[in-house]
Amino acid sequence: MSFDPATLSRILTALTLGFHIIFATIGVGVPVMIMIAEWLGIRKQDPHYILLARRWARGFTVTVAVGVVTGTAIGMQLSLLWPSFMKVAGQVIALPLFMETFAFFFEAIFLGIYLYTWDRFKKPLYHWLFVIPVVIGSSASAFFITTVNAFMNTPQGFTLANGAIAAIEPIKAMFNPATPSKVAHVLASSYLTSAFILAAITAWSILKGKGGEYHRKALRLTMIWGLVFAVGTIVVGDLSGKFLAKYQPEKLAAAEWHFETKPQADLLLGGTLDPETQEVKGALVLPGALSILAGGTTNTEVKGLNDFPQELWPPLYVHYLFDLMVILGMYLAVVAGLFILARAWKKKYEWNPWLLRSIVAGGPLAMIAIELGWMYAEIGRQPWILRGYMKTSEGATMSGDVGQMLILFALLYAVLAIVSTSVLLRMFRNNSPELEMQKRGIQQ
Amino acid sequence: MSHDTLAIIWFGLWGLIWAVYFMLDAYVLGTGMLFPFVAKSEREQRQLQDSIGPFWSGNEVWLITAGGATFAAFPLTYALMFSYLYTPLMFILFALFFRAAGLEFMHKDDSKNWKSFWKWGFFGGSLVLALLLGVAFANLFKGLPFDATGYHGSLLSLLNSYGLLGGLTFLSLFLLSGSVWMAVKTSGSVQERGARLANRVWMAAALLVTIFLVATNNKTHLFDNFVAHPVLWILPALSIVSILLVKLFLHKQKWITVFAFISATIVTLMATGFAGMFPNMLLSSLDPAQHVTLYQAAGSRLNLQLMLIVAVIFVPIVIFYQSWMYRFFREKISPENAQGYK
Repeated sequence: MSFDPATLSRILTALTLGFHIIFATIGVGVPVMIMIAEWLGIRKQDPHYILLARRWARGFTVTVAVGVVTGTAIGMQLSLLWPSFMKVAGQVIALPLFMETFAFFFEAIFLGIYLYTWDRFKKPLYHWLFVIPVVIGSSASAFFITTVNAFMNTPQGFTLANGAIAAIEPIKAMFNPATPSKVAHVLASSYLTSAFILAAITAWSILKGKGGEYHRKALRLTMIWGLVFAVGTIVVGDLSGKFLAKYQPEKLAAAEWHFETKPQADLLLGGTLDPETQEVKGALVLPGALSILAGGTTNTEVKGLNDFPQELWPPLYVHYLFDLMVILGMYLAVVAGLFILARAWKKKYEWNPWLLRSIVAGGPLAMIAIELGWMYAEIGRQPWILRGYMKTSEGATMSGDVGQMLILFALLYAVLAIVSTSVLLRMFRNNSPELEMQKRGIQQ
Repeated sequence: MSHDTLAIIWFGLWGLIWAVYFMLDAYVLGTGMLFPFVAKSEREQRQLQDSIGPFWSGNEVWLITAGGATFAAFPLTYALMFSYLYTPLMFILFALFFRAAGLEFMHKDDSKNWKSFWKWGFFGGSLVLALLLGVAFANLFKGLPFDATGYHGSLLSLLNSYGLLGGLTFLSLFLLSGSVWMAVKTSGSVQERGARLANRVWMAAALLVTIFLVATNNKTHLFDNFVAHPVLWILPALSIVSILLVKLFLHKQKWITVFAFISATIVTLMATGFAGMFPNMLLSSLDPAQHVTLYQAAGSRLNLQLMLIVAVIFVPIVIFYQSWMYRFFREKISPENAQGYK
C-alpha cells in the first residue's frame, strides 16, 4: 500500500495533533484546578486541599514534559509538511506564534518557582500567588495558538494575488471572526476535561475502597467545578453554532445533514444518510432546534449545503463526530449535575457506586469529546486548509520523505505515551494519598 | 524604520536569543553529562537535581523562542533550515525529551532499573544535545551543501571534521559550565568534585576553543567580514581572553566570576559566528550565489515592526523575572537540604 505525500501529510498531522491535544488540554486545565484547590486549602486551613494541589502539580510536570515535545513537533511539521500553506499563512500567523513563546516563559519560570517553594513562605498565600502566572501563561498560550486555527477557518487581514500574499495586517488576522467562540470553547472544554480526569481518578480510588475525607473532598471539588465548566462549555458551544451559521454555514450544514436553506430547520441525532436522495433515516429529530442553534429562534433561516457546489462540501460523516461530541458534553454536565443533586438530596447518595462509575467513565469520555471536537473542527473545514483561499491538497509537500517521517514521529509518540503512563502509574502507586498523608502527619 | 533596518535589528535579536539559550542551557547540559560520574549517592543526585531543577525549563524556553523568532522573523530561513536539517532535529527532539524526563522522572520510582535507565537517559539526552547543537551550528557557520536544485547533504555529511570540532568545542564548554555550576550551587563533596573537574576540563575547553577559531579561519569564510571590518576581531579576542580569565579565577576559587567568564566565552563565540555570517543566514558550501541573506529571509515590514514592539516589551520582562528567580534560589544546595520538590 502506498500513499501520495499529501495523504501521508494529512495522516501525520492528524496523528500529531491528536496526540498533542491530550497533553495540551491537561496542560491548560490542570493549573486551574491546582489554583482552586490550593486556594480552598488556604482559606479553609485544610491540609487535604493543599495535598491535592501538591499531588496534581506533581502529575502536571509529567504532562508538561511531554507537551513541550509534541508542541515542538507541530512547529517542525508545519513547514515540513505544508510548505505552500506556510508560505502564505506563515507571515500572518508569525505574530501569535511568537507571542506564544512569551506565554511559555511565564508558565515555565513560575512553575519552577511554584514547585520548589511549597514550604518556604510563612504566609501560604504567597506561594499560591505563584500559580497565577502559570494559569495565565498556559491559558494565554492556548489563546494564541487557537487564534491561528481560527484564522484558518475565517482568514482575514491580507490579500492574495497570484499566490503571493500582501497587505498583511497581523492583528486583524489574529482577531478574526472565529477567534472569540473558538478560544472560549477551547478554554472551557480544557478546564472541563481536566476537572473530569481528576474526578475520574478520585472516583476510581473510592470505588477501590479508599473512601477517606481526602478523596471525598477531591470529588466534590472536581464535580462542582466540572459542572461549572460543563455549563460554560455548552453555552460557548451554542455561541459557536451561531458563529458557524454566520461565517461557515457549510460546516454547520454538514454537521446536521442540512441540505435545503430554510427556517424551522431540524437538529438530527444519529441516523443514516442516502447521499443520492439526501434523505435521512432513523435519526432522532429535534424540530426547529438547528434554527435555534443557528440564530436563537425557530424562524432563523439556516443555509443548506445545496447552496454550495458539491466539491466544497466537507465530508458528510462529520455529522457523527459532531453528534458524539455534543452527546458526550451533555453526559458530562448530567453526571456532574446528578452528583450535586444526589448530594443535596441525601449525603450518602453521592457515594452511589453507579454514580462513581459514571464519573470514572467521564474522564476518558471527556478526552474523547475533545478529540471529536477537534476532528470536527479540522475535517469540517475541508476541502480548505485556509478557507476560501487554499485547499488542503494545494498546501501539502511534494516530498517523498513523509513516509519515513511518519514512522519516526509515530515512534516518538509511542515512547512518550509509554513513558508518561508508566511514570504516572508509578508515582501514584509508590506514593498513594494515604501513604503521603501518613508521612506528612495529616489526619485521614 | 526601513524594512532592511528592521531585518538587521531582528538578525541581532535572533543571534542574541540563541546566545542566551546556549549560555543558560550550558550548565544544565553540562550537569547532565557529568551527573552519573559526580553523584555517588542518592543524596548527591538530589543535590545536583535541585541545583538545576527550578531553572532548566525556563532556560529551555529560550530554545523554543529561538525557533519561534526564526519562524516569525525569518520564515524562509526556518523553512529551509527545517527541511535541510530535519534528521538531526529529530534527534534533538528525542534528546530534549530524554534530558527532561531523565531529570524529572529518575526518582519517581524506587526500582533500580528505573533509576539507572533515567540516569543514563539524562546523561545521553544531554550529551546528544550538546554535541548535535555544536555540530549544527558549526555547519551553519561553514555552509550547508545546497544549491538551486536543493539540498545534497545527509546526517553523515554534517559530521565533517569542522562540524565535529564544533560539537566537541560546545561539549567541552558545557562540561566546564556544568562543573563550575556545581561549585557555585552546591556544598560538600559534590562541590569539591565540581571544582576539581572544572580545573581539568578547562584545559580541554581552552584548547578546543583556540583550535576551533583557527579552523574557522582555515575552513570557513566567516572571517572575511572581520578582514573588511577589523573592529570585529574584538569578538574572538574576547572569547580567548574570557577563557583565559576563567583559569585565573579558577585559581582564586571565585566561582561566580568563573561562571560569568565561561558565559562570556560562549556568548562571544556565538557572536563571532553570527558576525561572520552577516548578512547571510544560510550559507551554501556549494555555490556562494545561493546564500540566503537576512534580507531575502525576512518577514514583512509590519510583522517585523509589531514583533519588535512585542520583543522590546517582553524580553526585558522575561530577563527581569528570570534573574529575580535566580536570586530567589541563590542558596547553596547542601546534601542535607536537597530533597527535590514534594
